[in-house]
Amino acid sequence: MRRFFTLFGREVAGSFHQPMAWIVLCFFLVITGFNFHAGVTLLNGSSGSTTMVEAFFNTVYFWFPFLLVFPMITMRVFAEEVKMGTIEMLMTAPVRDIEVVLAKYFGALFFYIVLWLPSALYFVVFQMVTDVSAGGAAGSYLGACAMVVLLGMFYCSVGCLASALTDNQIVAAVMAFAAILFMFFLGLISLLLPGGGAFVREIVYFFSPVQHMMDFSRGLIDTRPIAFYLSATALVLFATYQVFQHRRWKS
Amino acid sequence: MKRTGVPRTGIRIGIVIQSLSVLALFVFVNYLSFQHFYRGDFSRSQKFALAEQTKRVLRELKKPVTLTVIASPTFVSAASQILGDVKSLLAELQFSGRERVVVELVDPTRNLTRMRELQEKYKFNSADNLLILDYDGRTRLLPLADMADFDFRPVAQGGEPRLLAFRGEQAITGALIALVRPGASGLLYAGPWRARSRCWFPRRPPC
Repeated sequence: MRRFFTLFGREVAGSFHQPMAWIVLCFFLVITGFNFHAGVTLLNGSSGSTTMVEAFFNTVYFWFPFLLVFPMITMRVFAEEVKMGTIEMLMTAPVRDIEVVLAKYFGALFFYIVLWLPSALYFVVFQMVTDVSAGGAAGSYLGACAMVVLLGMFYCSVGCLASALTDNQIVAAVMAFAAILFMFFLGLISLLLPGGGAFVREIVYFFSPVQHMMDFSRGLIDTRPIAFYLSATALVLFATYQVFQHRRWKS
Repeated sequence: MKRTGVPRTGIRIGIVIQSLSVLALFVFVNYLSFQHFYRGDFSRSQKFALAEQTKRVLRELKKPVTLTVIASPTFVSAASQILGDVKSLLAELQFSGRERVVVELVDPTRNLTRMRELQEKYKFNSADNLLILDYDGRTRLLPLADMADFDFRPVAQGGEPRLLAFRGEQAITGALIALVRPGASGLLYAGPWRARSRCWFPRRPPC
């Protein structure tokens, strides 16, 4: 465990020493700030029962930076080590491959969670200024946070796999973005098949991050997406581990 | 001379077996979670939780009921305010009723052909915010405006009507009971509407 935390610390420190990390952080804050402003404008103009949390997490301004941020966070995770030639050092160091993979994955996930922390202030400020609850209930906040973390876990693992598959960071970013976008649009198939039966509808719901976020931000907690994202993360991390090990057997 | 290299074939077989096992585990976990899931409403208003009576009515359905919503978000109408709530409610009815509830959303401004078909089939003229319930050849038409209480006083000052309460579940369940049991009385509800719903949904029957 000590070796894992050493690697994890190295990974986190490495992330924040990169100018790219600060660019991503700024880009993300600007767009989420704009998204928050759009949410407030929407609430000002509507007399329905939409909450601030729903308005924030279910717009195109939320999904655009959200999907774009994972390739940027994860593209360097393995590809950079290979390019710099430090991967051999890692592979010959007295650490297990699984510890390396997990440390890199959790390093990326940690950075992703740090990205979101300033956004939590928006809701606190909103509540202080307007005296209106931003979520309506704790279930909405927790649901939205849980979905942000679950999606982050899964997409970070996809990005790590893409980075492990190639030596080129740009190729890794493009691969991760394509895979994430494919999974995102898989959940929108119901728009193309409005007449599908109950089974098709439920299968589409199973893969639809938009639907999951919509439900969770309303406080509707469903166990299916939780099981799906956790198991899919484990599956993709297993694939990453195998790809990482493949380098050892290849050489 | 005896070879002492890495046993690559053995490693490959091991990796294939490991990968297949992990994949099988992934499919199994997701199959189980798909069959037996929990869906709970933790929102403050509990407006997404279906009442026990609604679930009972859904269990009684012998054939699929088709719920067709004719509405457009572009319509200037008080009912447009509750369109999101109506869609959420229909989604919950679908989750609970599964294959026994079929929902169709028709936007008359975008799908005029379908709108005409529906007008011909159900013999109605209005194109504004309507819910059609069709069960076993019996139909009910519910204006969306009847699913909520509005305060129309702000209209006098040039404002929009203010939503006071959404009663969509009550209206739809009432209409469903009238369709399932044609002789039943219209007075249906005695219990609380926002009863907290936390139950396990087996594949069949729905809870």
